[in-house]
Amino acid sequence: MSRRPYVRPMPGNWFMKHPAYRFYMLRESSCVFNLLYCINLLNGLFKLAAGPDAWNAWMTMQGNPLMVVFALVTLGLTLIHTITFANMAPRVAPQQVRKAVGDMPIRNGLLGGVVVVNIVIIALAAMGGTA
Amino acid sequence: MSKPKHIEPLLWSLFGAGGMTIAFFMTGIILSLVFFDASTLSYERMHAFFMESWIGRLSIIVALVPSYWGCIHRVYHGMHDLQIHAGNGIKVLCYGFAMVLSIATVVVVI
Repeated sequence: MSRRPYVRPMPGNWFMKHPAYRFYMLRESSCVFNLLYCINLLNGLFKLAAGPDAWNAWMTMQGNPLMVVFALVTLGLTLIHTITFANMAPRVAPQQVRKAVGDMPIRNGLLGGVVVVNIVIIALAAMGGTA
Repeated sequence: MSKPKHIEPLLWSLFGAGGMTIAFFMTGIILSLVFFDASTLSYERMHAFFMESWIGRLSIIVALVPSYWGCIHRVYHGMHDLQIHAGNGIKVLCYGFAMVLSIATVVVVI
């Protein structure tokens, strides 16, 4: 880089100094967990392509207590992400739409959509041998 | 001087799409994998859906690919918050990894 931007010195734990910053960092940490979980899912797709034994081994791994803890932490952070994502949705939506319908319908509409889609996913997963 | 081409708007829109796909798909997927075992999520049924049907293949691509880009975008920009002021090399590495994951996802289901 040819330019050398000035970097203001900051204490390494700056985000511990205010509840809003702590919550910001908690929410942002969701990206690390979600990325790792997505890589786990991609690994599952490879196992699914490899055959029944590989798939069953991967499914067994999903039931490992450590994996369940990781999944539940990821789930909690995903829920924080989802709610904060819905809360800020009116601010990133087209502003004509926002003016026309208001903030709460955008937020609640998005959350409603999220609930419906996730119920469909779980229902499809639960269908067992009947699908 | 020629007009510089900016990639940031594209990365930003993938980040937005990733926020959306994480919100819309991940809760259901995680809960399904926590609560159901291989007797419910059997190889035959999962293979038929994610590897053979178009709707299943398209669904998993839509759920995963923007999620990689969104998460990696946030990891890259989050490094700044952790006082790691990454240069262009790290940036290429991050988005390159997102590209590798995306290609792998599309290739494995097709």
